[in-house]
Amino acid sequence: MAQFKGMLHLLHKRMAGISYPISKQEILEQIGNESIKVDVDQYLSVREIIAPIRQETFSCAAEFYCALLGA
Amino acid sequence: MNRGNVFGINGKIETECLTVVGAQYAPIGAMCMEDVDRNTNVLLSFMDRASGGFPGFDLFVAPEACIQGFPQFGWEKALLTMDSPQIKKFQEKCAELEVYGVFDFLLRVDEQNNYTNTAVVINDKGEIIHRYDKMNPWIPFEGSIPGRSCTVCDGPKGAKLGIIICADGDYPEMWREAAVQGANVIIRPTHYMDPWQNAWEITNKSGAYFNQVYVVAVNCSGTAENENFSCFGRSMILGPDGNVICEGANGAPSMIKADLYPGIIDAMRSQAVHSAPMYSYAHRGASSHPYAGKGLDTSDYTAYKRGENDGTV
Repeated sequence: MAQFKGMLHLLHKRMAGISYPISKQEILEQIGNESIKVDVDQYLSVREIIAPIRQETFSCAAEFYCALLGA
Repeated sequence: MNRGNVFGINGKIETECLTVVGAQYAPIGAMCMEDVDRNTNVLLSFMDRASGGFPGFDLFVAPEACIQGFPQFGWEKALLTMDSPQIKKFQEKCAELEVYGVFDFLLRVDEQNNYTNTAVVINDKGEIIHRYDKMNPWIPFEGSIPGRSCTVCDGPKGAKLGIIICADGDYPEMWREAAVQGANVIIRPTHYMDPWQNAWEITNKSGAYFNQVYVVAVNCSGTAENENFSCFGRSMILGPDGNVICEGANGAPSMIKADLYPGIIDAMRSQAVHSAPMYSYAHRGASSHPYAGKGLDTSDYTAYKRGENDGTV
């Protein structure tokens, strides 16, 4: 079965209203409970997806995504 | 085959529209104040024509040494000071037309004919609000005293104007310096000559792309009286992806005009995930696990460490 490739795409959609700089806590407050399809039959909340991030604040989108992908 | 950037730009982008006009011509290589006055009248005429041709424009940009040119001899008789009447005329014209203007002059420093190559920004009230002294004179031919900083100023419609002058743009650090200072529009007045047309295009495009910034590069155009070189014009306005938005004629006097959106540059620098050079150059490897979200800064580079590798010691 093909892997689902759209997780980052859907996360980015959920991030549409996020403006920077922003804290991890503020992101959680705004969209933490949003659900995102991460695999063919699997869904996670934004809260779960960004939980591994070790950083607390983000100056720009590039910093946020680097922190996420490097987590 | 995929073409284009990755990741959409999120968020609602609010920006005003900045209408820019650049005028290219061949100022006489001024060897006396009468030559300066003739050039002044030509340039003032271009400003008037811009108001007729492009009603509502916000910013007018003239080329390097816009009323003095670069004659081989006699240039010292045409040096100006910041309170010269010719400069005053441009202040009055900006106020009259309610536009900002960027003008480049050769300014006398002392009685030994030392001078700076200085661009000024005049606001729509006729006030000089910013000056930039060229940091990289075109050595060995140009003997101007180099400037020591490249700061930016607020322009109209959300623009933050950084200025680099002609040969400055042959050095990538100059573009970067202006961008780091916050410029979302970099103005480059030039007296760029044949045969360097390819370099002209490459440097403008790379300056825009590397720093995600609008570029307004306005060149002299034609073979001027009292000058040895011919300037090819081809003034150009470029977008932050390095693409040319509009380009002037090759070797003829003309004006170029484009509508820019400075707020988009600010939004891109904040919202872009990939192709965010102003973040990524100073956060190398920021998506590796050890440096997640932080990366490594520029301190590993040796090129610009003062006095170590730049040949000054």
